[in-house]
This record gives sequence, structure tokens and C-alpha cells, in this order.
Amino acid sequence: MTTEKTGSLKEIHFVTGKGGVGKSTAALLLALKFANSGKKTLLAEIGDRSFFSHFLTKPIHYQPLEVSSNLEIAHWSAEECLKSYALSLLKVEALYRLFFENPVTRSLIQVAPSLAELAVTGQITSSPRNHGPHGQHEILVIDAYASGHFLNLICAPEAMGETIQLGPMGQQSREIHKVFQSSGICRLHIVSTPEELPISEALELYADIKKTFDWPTEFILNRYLNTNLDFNKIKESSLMQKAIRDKLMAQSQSLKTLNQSGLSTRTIPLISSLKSMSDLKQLQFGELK
Amino acid sequence: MKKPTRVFIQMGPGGVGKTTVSAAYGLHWAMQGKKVLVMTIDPARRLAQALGIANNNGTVKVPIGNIKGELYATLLDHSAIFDSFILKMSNSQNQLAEKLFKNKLYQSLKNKLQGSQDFTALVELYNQASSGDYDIVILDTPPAQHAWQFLESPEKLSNLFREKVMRWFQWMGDPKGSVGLWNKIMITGTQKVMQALQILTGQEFMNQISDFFKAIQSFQVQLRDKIENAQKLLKSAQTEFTLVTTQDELKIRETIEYAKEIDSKGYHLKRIILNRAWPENNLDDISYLSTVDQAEIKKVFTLLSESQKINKALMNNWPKDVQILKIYDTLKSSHDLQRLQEMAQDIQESVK
Repeated sequence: MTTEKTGSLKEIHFVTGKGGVGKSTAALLLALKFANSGKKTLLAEIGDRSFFSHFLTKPIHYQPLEVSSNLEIAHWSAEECLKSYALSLLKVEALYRLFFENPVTRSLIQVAPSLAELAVTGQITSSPRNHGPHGQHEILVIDAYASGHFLNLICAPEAMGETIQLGPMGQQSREIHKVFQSSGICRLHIVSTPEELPISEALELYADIKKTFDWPTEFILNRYLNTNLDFNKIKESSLMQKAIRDKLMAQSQSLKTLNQSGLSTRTIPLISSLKSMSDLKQLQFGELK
Repeated sequence: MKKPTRVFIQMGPGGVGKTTVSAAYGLHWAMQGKKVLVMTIDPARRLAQALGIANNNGTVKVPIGNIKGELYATLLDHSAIFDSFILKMSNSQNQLAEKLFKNKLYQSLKNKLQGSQDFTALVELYNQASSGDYDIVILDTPPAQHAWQFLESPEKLSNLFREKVMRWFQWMGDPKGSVGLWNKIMITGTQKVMQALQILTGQEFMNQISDFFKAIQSFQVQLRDKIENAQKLLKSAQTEFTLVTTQDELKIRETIEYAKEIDSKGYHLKRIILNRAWPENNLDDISYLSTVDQAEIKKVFTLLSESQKINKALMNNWPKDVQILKIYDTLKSSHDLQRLQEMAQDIQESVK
């Protein structure tokens, strides 16, 4: 990993939304578009397990892996972030081994995940804070946790900074929060499918985040059915027609709700099979009229 | 003698409608004449309002008329459960509980941590299941990044409350601050680890940890007992696991993994509820539509059906000996309680 004196990072894009709406797909598509426009892009997934290892059928680890031109992908699990953070403070490899291989500290970390959240947010902001190892990317896309868990993640540094006034951990927490709040580099993308529940969760999440962070935000409507067909015209003469009518009706209502929110929305069309990078490269974001 | 309460643990990937399905499944049993309690953690606002638990007012009877049995719902307020649990355990030692309530680590453990949510859910489940008040208690598991975090939480917590761990922290933040004593007690390795922890977190955090462990030490045995009882309940024959999922490739794959996980940990997986199931039949007569619209609906039908093909193939890998229940994605009502009834009706149909 290249360590520079000043961080080259210009934008951090958080991709979140209700579980199962296709956050990872949206994050990858977003990162791909940045990379195609010539920007050095890093896509980092932060969950325990790597979605992209499965999707790209190659192992993705903590160190970024180039997957296409200008695009690298990394998997920043909480544990890896914590290790990197600890090593940067402890300096001595043997000491940090001792620490992380100790069953007590392991179980402490497992039960107290705000440590993990701090390490993950610390990793995300390492370039703007000029702290710890960071690469030369201009754009960082975070394939983040689902709504509630994501809110916990981005609010953890503030809470920890207030709780722990003294010492390096409190200091770090406050620095991370400062980057989130004031540097103007964070962007938010809330993904939803065109269905009622994910949409209302997306709007609730947006309202909650807005209380603390004033981030430029867009909605991404995934699995969007590209059709002019009016659901009102479909009769419920068979279970299948009823199902299609319901899908289109839910989509039309979702669009109305999003329209009222006044936020910009892009769509990702539903395609019959999305299994590989080449399937994904066919996809284009659509704009809503 | 009264039959033991049946316990249903509802698990599944995120975003499959687990909470709504749990309520509908509860209603399904209430319609059979059972007295059912649904315990839920994080319902969408509208569902909470429909069930009557939006204001966090304890256990309420869900206002659904004309059914044979009764349906109750409760919202798990894990912060309150945690406090009342500590109070109950401290008995006469109220100052101890007070001291703990003021500890910052306790507050953050209580409010923010997944582990404590899982813990309180288990404590409350155990209380309700052993009260004998209900025929069936349904637990909608906490939203977790991965459902098995819930299954691992008792183990993680009991690891933390192992006596040895406690001893570590008791010596810290000792008002006498006796370094000599510290050195005598700690073997070199442990001391190094504590030093590392202090470098990472700072003295204030260490003091908080130390206070926390000292305060919680007196509850340690009861805590461990409680966790062990809950664990026993989860593995007993009266507890049946349900996996809730949707007809979506990733969800189905996750469900297959969960099924293995549940089985390998010695729990009993009894059923899978497929929510938003896609109908099997054809488009049928669309001649009433204009030519343009006929082409459009065919296009949509093909797209949706194609995207279901891989899912159907995957579902062949589901465990063979579990019941599969289906809820179709074609529910009419926008009124939430009526919608629950329609879902319960779908479950009924698929039992037949």
C-alpha cells in the first residue's frame, strides 16, 4: 500500500439502504462509473463477509485488488480495520499479535463493537485525516451496512468522542466525526427497490442522517421495471396478472413518494440475470423524468 | 398438566419482511384458537401502529376481531429490559445497580451494542416462555448483519463473564493504584496486553472498563445462569426455528447457509416461510389490452419470470424435512391488519 504525505482523496460515497435492496450492486455500478470517467476509485465493502468475493469469484481482502481499469476493491472487515489501527498505534508487531490473539481482548472486542465501528470509520477517513495507511485514490465508494446499522456506524465516533474525553481513542473519535461533519467530502446514496417498505425506510433514514450530517444525497431505485404500461389497465383475471399489476402499482406509488421528497433519484433497471461483472457493465443508471 | 409453551424463533436474511411475517404467522395460530405472543424488536412504524405497540406500552392485545384465539404483541425495549434485569439481580444492593447505571461503558453497552440487544431478547424470551401465559411465543430476532450473530451472542457474553476475565479488570483503576500489587498479580503476557489496551484506548476508557467489571462482578453468576438457561431453552424440543425468506437469489442462498448453521449448532429447524412468493402460473388471457400494452405486459412477464428461474433451481437445495409455507406477493389490502389477515390466510392455504 502506498502511503502519501497528503491524502489524495476527494470524495467519500456511502451506499446504504434497507437490507436486500441491492446496495452492493449499486455501489459497484457507482464505482464503475467513476472509474470509467478516469478517476482512481476504491470500492470498499465493510461487512463481516465479502459479497464481491462471491460476485467476482476472486478473493477480496483488506489490501485493494484491481478488478478493472482505475477500479480497485477492498474488503475492510471490522477485524482487519482494528488490526491496522492497532498496529499504527502499537508499532510493534509482536505486541499487537499478543493483543489480538488474546482470548479476553478478542471477546471484549466482539461484545463491544463500538471499537469495531471506530476502527472502520477510522479506516474510511484515514486519507483526509492523514492518519495511518491510505492509498492514492480520488474516490472512495463504501458499500456500507443496512440502514439502522449504518446510522450506528456513522454516529459512533461522536458518541465515543463524548464518552471518552481523554486518551488517543477519544481524540481519534472526535477527528473522525469532524471529517464526517465538516470536510464536505461525504456523499450519500440511499438504495431502495420500488416497493413501499424499503422506500419508507429510506426516507426515515435520510431524515435521521440529516439531523447530524448535511451530506449531498441521492436515491437510487434498484430493480426498476422499465415500462410505460399503466397498472390500472391490467385486470386481475389471473394470479400472474394480479402479481404484475401489484408490482407496477407499488413502483408507481414509490415514484410518487420519492418525487414528493424532492431529492434526485436515479434508477437501475431490473435485468433477468445479474451474475457477473460483464452483466453489470451492461447496466446504465437511468434518470427519472 | 399444561403443555409447555411452544417457542418459535423467526430468523432470516435482512429485508425479507421478517417482522410482518412473524406477526402474520402468530395470527395464523391465533386463528386456530391458540393464545399467541409475538415479540418484536424493530417493526416498521406502520406495523407497530397497526399492532398497537407503537408507543412502547408493554404487551398489548392486537385488535383483530372474530378469531378463535388471541394475539398479543410486545415491543422489546432492550434498554429497559437490561436495567430491570440488573435491578432484579442486585436485590438489596441498590447502590451497586445505581453505580452500574452511571457507568459510561454500561450505558453504551446497553444502548448501542448488538450483543446486548440479543441478550435482552433472550432474557425476555425466557421469561415469557416460562411464564406459562401463552400457548405459543414467537420471537422475531433482532436485525443483525448476519442472523447467526444472534445465535452466537450467548456464547460471546458468557465468554466475557468468565471468572478469569473478571479478575483481570478488577485490579484496574484500584483507588490505591498499587503498581507493585499489579505487577505481582499479572503475569508478564497479561500485563503487556493491558498495556496495549491502554495505549489504544487511554486511561479513562480503562477506568470505565474496570468499574464496569467490578460492578457487574456481583451479578456474574446470575448472568451466566440466565444465559445458560436461555441457551438450554433454544436447544430444547419446545423451541422450533423458522427461516423467513423471499424468492430472491441472494436471500435463498443465505437461507441455505442459515439452515446449515442452525442444524450444525444443534437447534431444530422446522419450517421455511417464503414471503413474496412469485406465482407459478401463466399470464393467461390478455386480449382485452391494446396491442402495445400486450407487448409491454409480455415483456414484463418474461423479465420477471426469467429472473425467477435461477431461484426455483436453488430452492431444490432447501432441507428436505422442513415445512415450506408460502405467502404470495399479491395481497390486496393497504390496511395493515387486513393485510396481516390476508398473509395469515396464504399461510393457511399452504398448510393444506
